[in-house]
Amino acid sequence: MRQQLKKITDLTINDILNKNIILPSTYFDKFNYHAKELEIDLDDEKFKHEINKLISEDFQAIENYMNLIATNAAALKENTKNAADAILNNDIDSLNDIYKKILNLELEVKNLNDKLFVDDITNTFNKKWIYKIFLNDNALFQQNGICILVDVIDHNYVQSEYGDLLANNLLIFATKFIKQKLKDEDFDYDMVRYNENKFLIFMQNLTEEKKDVINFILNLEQLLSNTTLKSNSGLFIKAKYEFKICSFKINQDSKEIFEGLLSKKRKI
Amino acid sequence: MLFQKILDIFSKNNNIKTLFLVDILYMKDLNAIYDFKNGDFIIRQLDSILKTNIKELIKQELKRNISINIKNTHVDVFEIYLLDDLTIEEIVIVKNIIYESVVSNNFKLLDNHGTINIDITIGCAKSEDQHIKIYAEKALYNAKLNFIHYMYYDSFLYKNESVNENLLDILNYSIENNLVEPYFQAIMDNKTNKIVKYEALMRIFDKEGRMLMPNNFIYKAKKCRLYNKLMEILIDKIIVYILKYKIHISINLDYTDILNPQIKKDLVSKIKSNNIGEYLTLEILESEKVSSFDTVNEFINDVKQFGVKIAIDDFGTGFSNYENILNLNIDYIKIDGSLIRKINEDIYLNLIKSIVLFSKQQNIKVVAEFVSDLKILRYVKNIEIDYSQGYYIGKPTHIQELFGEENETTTKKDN
Repeated sequence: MRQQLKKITDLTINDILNKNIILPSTYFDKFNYHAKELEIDLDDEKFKHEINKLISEDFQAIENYMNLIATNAAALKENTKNAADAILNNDIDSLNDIYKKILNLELEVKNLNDKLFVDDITNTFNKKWIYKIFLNDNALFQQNGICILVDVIDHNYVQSEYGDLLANNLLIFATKFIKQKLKDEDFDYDMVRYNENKFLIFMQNLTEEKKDVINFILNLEQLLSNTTLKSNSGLFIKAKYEFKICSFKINQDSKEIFEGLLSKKRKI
Repeated sequence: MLFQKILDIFSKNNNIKTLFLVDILYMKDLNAIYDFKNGDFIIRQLDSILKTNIKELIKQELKRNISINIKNTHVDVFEIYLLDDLTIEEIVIVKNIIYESVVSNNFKLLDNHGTINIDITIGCAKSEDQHIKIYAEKALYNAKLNFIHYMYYDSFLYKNESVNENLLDILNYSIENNLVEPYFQAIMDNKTNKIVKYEALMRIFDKEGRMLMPNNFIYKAKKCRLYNKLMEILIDKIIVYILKYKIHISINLDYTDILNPQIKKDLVSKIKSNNIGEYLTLEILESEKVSSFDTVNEFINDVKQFGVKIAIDDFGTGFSNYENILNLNIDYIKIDGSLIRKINEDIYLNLIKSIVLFSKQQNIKVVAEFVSDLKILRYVKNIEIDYSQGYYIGKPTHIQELFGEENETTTKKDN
């Protein structure tokens, strides 16, 4: 049920993310529409129970973030006061101590940032990162570049036949593989989990010819498709993947690019 | 429409079968030690326990009346067909029943009061089509190859293997249209910072002009017996470029290339007739497959008389050791990229240093692969590795690009 809920949420968010104003009714209409499409009964007891559980988990996560932010803010306030005193008294030891504390604080803020913008299974960025960090406030691209959609096609099959653990392992394997190969080639890239089994790779500041990058990506797709994942239970997974590539320009609408990639049949 | 859907699901589930192939390990040894009569006797006993005890246990454990067909299809191979769509958990249960029952069974011998135990390998597949046996055989083969007692092939996922059928078309297209092309990656002398040599890397192209890299097609080319043709075109083009540009080039050779009399004969004859030995280095892949060092040395001596240099490629990854290298008459060792990329870690740095020390004592020059940034290059120079190759020195490039920018690429400044 949770997986189906996630799927409905993904589809709903995809539909409305680019709107300036999202009223609760708009969200619910779309949510309802996709739930019906996936043949989910919203009045089902199991469904209601799952929703309540999710809401409680969400509250817990928000509370944790708030606590963390409050702790960090308190630490920052104390450090600032101590720094002011240390400067007035010309106290080098205290300043050194404060410097260390600020470094720790920086790490804490980074961890908090990771929690907000990183997908905890694949360690790639999450969708929030695209809209909060990567694109501008109007969801437009801020630079020229190339966007690659990586579809782990067999993810759903592996999930339904062998469960979440293996399905997640497949995603972890695929993302690690891709990230290592891109790193080996020295590409400047960002990888994002766009929905359950689809990832986006953004490449900006390309120093290579576009043709060479496309060649590399198509070879990477082949290489990944030819790689086998062996599970401890003796299962042999040779999953199917599909890569699609599209260029984007500064100030171009991201929705246009993402929808184009999701719907297009040709690779390039 | 709903009715049709239900009908589809019903008919689909009805056709799904699960097949276990059970193979007795080292049957030849059993025949050799206890003779064929005892070998046959063991097979008859296995046949019996599969058809009685194991069949019954499976039905009990799965708690339903499943149709199970068991037969001895090959000398030491048994097929167990379950005409049902088993879940992955049920498959593991059945596998455990078969495995544990067989390996714990005491097999009797004729005219002997003692008993022996046997070991088995199991390959399993589930499918609704007639290819189920191919999938199960593939699973069995891979289980044996990986020295594990069981492997399961999901036919749905296995089908992905045949998706890339058009690779064969691309290979044929490249051969017919002479589109096998060497791309050249620079190798720099660490003392002079000059590019002294290029490694030729094979590329092929599809109809849209998109380039394919070797790790995507070499295996398929070998499987389809097209590899020799690719090598032939590659070597011909390399010879043309050597004659035209007078550059030193390294070519990769697999151990199997050396064993292949056709490739060996062609190569030696081309080196001789074009008088290009002085410009050529042959890189032999370090591999566990090198079983006859005499054959390799014979090949090395044959080509060395024309001035060809010999390198051992990917050193540090295979099973060869220093002793094996001592037995070969080589000029260069290329340290594998997987070691060089970790050169900043003490354990790898020490390992690389020991390779360099050993090589210098044997008068063998050392090349570092995967020099991808300045930091790695500094490490490499610091421990006195003779040559560097990698993206920091230069990416694989087409010959035209290379000589269009000759002045910029032949020297790299160490900053």
